[in-house]
Amino acid sequence: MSQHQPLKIVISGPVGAGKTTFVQSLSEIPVVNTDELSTEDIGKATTTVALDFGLLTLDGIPIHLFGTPGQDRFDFMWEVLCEGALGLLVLVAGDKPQDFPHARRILEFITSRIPVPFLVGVTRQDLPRVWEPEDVAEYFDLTPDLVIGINATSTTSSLLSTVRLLELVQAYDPLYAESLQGKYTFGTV
Amino acid sequence: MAIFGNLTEFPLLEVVSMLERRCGVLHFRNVGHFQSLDLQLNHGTLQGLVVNGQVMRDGIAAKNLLIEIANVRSGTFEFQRVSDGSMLLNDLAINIGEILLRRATLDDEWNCYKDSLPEPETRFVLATQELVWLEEELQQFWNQAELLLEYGISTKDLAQRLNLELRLVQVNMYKLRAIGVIRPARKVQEIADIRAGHFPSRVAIPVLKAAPVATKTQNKPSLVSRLLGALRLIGKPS
Repeated sequence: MSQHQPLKIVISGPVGAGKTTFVQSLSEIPVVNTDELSTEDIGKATTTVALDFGLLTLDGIPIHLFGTPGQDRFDFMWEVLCEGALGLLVLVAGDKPQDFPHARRILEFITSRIPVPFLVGVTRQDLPRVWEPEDVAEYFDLTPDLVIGINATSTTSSLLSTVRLLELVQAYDPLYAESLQGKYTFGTV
Repeated sequence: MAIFGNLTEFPLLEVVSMLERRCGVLHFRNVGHFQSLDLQLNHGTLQGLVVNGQVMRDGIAAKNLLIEIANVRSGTFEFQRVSDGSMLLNDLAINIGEILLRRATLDDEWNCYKDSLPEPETRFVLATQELVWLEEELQQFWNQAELLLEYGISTKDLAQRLNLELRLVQVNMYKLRAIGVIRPARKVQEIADIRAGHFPSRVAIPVLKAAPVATKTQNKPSLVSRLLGALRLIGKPS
C-alpha cells in the first residue's frame, strides 16, 4: 500500500476558538473554507458553515486539516469528519470560559464514540486575562498532558501543538497511522 | 356541579391540587397524543389509569405517562365524582401531586443545567466502584442504571432501555457525574485497556470492537515517527 496516502487531522471547537486561523497557519495551500455571513450574533461577521480544509505535507505524506463548524446546529458534522482521523484537536478560547461547556460537549461526544487520539488547545494565550491550560484541564477532567496552550495565529505554536498531538498518537499506538492508511481516501484516485 | 375545563387555562398540577380531597374519575380528551385518558383519583392518590380505553397497571409506565402529560397545555378535562373509593380501580397507589411536582422540579433543574448537559449520544461509564450517598430518587435511578453504565452507554440509549424521559435521565446523569460516580467514556482509553487485558470488572468478554492495528513488524520508522521527524524539522529555525 502506498505510503503517500493522505491522513487527516480534525480541528474542532466552539465559534471563535481559532479553528480557521489554526488551519490557515499550518496549511501550505490557500485554505478552502465555507465562511458565510453570520445570521445570528456570534461575536464576529462570518462563521464556518461546513468546514475548513487545509493541507500540510510531511515527509511526502499529505495531512488533510479539517476545521469543523463551531455552531451547535452543525454538530452532525463532528462524527462524520472524525471517522478515520489520525487525531483530534479541540480548540477553546482561554478568555471565553462561557464557551467551555460547549467545547467539553464536543470533545466528549466525539471521544466517547470514536477511537481518536485527542488534544485540547487553549487559544489566546497572549491575552492578559486568560485561563491557563492546567486550569482548563481541571474543568475538562483531563490530565494536564492532554491540554496545551496555543497561539493559533503563530505557525510555530500551531506546529508545536501538532507535534504534541502526534506524540499522543504515537503513545496510543505507534502503528496507528498505518492502520488508518487506505481507510481514508479523500482526494485519492 | 361539574368540574370541567381546558388545560390551556388550568395547568394539570392545579387541577390535581383542586381535586386532592375528592374521589372520582378525571377524564381527559386529546391531551398530548392521547385521545382519551381517565385518571381514577382517591384523595390525591392515583388508583387507576385508563389510556385510550385500556387499563394501565404498570406503576412505572403510569408515572412516566404522568410526567409526560404534566406540562401539556392542550386538551379538555371533566371530573366525575364517585361516592365511594371502592368503585374505582385499585391497580395503582401513586401520589399524583408528588409526581407532578417532581416534574416541575425536573423542568427547573433541566433549565438550570441545560447549557452544561452533554450531548445525549455521549457515552458514559462508571468512574468509581465506591458507594456514595445518593438522594432517594437518584438512588432509584442508579439501581436501574448501574449495570448498563458498567459497559458504557449513552444517555439517549439509557433513557430508551429504562423507558424514562430523556430529560430526567440527562439531569440524573449530570448529578452522577458531578459527584464523580460516572465519567465520559474515552474510546481510545477503552481500546488501550482491552489491548492491555484490562476489562470492566464484570465483563468476561470484550464487548468493544478495537480499532484495527497494523501488526506487521517493520524495521523502518513508523509513519507517525516520520511525521514527527518532519514536523520537528519544520519547527527548527533555519
